[in-house]
Amino acid sequence: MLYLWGLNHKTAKLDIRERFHVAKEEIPTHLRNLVQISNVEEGMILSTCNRVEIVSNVSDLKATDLIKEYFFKAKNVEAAEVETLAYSYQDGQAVSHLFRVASSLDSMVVGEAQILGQMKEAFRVAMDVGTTGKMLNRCLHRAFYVAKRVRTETEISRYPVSVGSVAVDLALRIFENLKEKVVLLVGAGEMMQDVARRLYQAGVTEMLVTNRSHGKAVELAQEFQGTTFFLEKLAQHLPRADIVMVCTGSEKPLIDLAMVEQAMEHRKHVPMFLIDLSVPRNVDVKITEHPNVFLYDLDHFETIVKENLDLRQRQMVDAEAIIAQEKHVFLEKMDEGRMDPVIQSLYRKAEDIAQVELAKTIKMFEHVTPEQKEALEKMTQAIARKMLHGPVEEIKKEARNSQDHSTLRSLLSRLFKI
Amino acid sequence: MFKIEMMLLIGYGLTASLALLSLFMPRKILENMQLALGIVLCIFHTGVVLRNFLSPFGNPESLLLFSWFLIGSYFWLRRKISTPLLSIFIFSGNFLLVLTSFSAPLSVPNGPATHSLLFPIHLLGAIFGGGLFAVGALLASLFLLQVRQLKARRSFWLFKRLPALETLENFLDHTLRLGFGLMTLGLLTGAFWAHEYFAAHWTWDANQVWALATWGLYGCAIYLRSSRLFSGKGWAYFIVTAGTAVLCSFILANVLMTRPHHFVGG
Repeated sequence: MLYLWGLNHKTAKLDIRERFHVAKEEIPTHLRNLVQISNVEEGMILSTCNRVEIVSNVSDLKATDLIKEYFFKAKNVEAAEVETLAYSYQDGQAVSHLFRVASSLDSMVVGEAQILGQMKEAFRVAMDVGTTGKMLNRCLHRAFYVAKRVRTETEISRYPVSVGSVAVDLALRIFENLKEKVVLLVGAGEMMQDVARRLYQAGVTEMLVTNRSHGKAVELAQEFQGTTFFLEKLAQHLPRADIVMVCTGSEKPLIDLAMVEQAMEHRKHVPMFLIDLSVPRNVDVKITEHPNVFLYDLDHFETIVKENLDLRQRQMVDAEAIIAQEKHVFLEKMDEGRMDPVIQSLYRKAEDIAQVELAKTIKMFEHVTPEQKEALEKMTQAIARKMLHGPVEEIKKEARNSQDHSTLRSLLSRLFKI
Repeated sequence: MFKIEMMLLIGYGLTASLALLSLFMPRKILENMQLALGIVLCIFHTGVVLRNFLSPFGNPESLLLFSWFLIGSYFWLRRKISTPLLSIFIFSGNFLLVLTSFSAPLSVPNGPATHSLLFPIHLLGAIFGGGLFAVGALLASLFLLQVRQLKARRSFWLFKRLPALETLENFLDHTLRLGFGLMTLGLLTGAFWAHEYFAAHWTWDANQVWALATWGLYGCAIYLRSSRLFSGKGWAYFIVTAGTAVLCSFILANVLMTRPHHFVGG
């Protein structure tokens, strides 16, 4: 039975989650201890800043209490503190939850890409430690496949929701690619660093940095292999810039319409994209009058982020439909898979009987050529398989429709004496 | 003759409807259906065009050749432009062109002049050149939509999949240069063809004058563009207007005129 237990940002506040958090270096030890618990056959631990979840394959429901007890003790947490905040799922619900988590439908920001990588890493660690088996392998691989389907068949991850990713998205609506584009950074604060990092990761290779404090500009430029200049020379360098980001504490605009018009003349009206993240604004809003200049400030970014979050939410309906479909298929296969040992035993028994009877029959003849023996062997095997084909299909069908697999297994064992 | 054309008409109408639907309900299956239908239509349409070249070539055939060029350019454009707007424009445009071909004056038997090698080169140059100018108008329209969206500084979900401005500008520049080149070829071969069979390079025929005016206008625009004296929204509006005028005049000429040139046929 697949069993999942944990807590996340929706059910528990940060102070509880951080106490329950399992550090990366501790995970292997906890995994080994987890599978030592009686009736726990497989285990995986997913521990991120927004959730801690223990996924296991247990052969008896009693093991679930033991799992919780183990973690309460290991984390020195009282059961009463956490019980009402944690959630637990079994079988179908556990599968559904895993698929949703992998597809980032359960994340704080729906559609975020990090969680899938975190799940894959958690699975890899569990595999390395040797605490995964058939159940978890199948389930997690399927979860990764479902996550890929959701990402490609819906637009859930398409719409950026951070300032940096919105900046890159907007830049890519203006410029075909960012590789040969020049980015000018006016300011060297933390927000500037984040956005600049995003642009750098998106392929920008040339960065110019300027700041009131030249030392900070040099520090920032070094991170992105950029060059620096003094703030007084801003008008001279502006024509070179395709993307200009401004975020300083200046009380007055640093870039005005006249400066931009002059720069655009030099650029022969190749479009320019300006991002003003300052409060108060450091770029004169009148520059939007220029037809080839695009200016966005913090308010615009906030509006876009909010719209994109709404758009992602709308994609959830399609994503949930994919998950429901995949869950149904997976559970059917899982139910069929539970009958695999019995079905294999059935075929082995039939083949053994066929071999025994064939041997008896061959002894009755004086001379049987190897070809004749081979043909007879094939015939007996084929008869055995064809006789069993119908019953095996019915067994699989019954396994899909029935909840009580142990009774079915027991019945088959008695019927066929396997 | 009209049976295959009727199938094309229905096919283009259906594909345009699918494209419109996928604008409001983006689904992979709708995109795949559009692509599959587009390929089937292209194959059928190619058959129609090849058949037409073996028979008297007149106004309906010109319209079908022009629309065949558009469906071909659709596959060229969709390598970099994946917005449903492209499909809507091209397939609904083709629907109208095929529909118009039904009401165009029927072909008259062509004389020995149409057996010359210069004739098909002239025809293809002129029609494909004009076709590229019409495609240019489409690209410029998408450019204006994208500029509008960026200037408004909100994300209109309807236009989310428009390509970058730079992509559209580059595509537009290539399209117009190629169109100008083909139009030049069409004009030159047309002049030599007219001289060979009708004893004069130039007779101030309405179509000739219009083609020359178009060629001149686009030539000047491309020159101004290459020196970046012409760019951005102004450039785009010009291309939309000029391309639309080329398209409308081509359709009107094929619907109203019984002969493409007064010296041909009769």
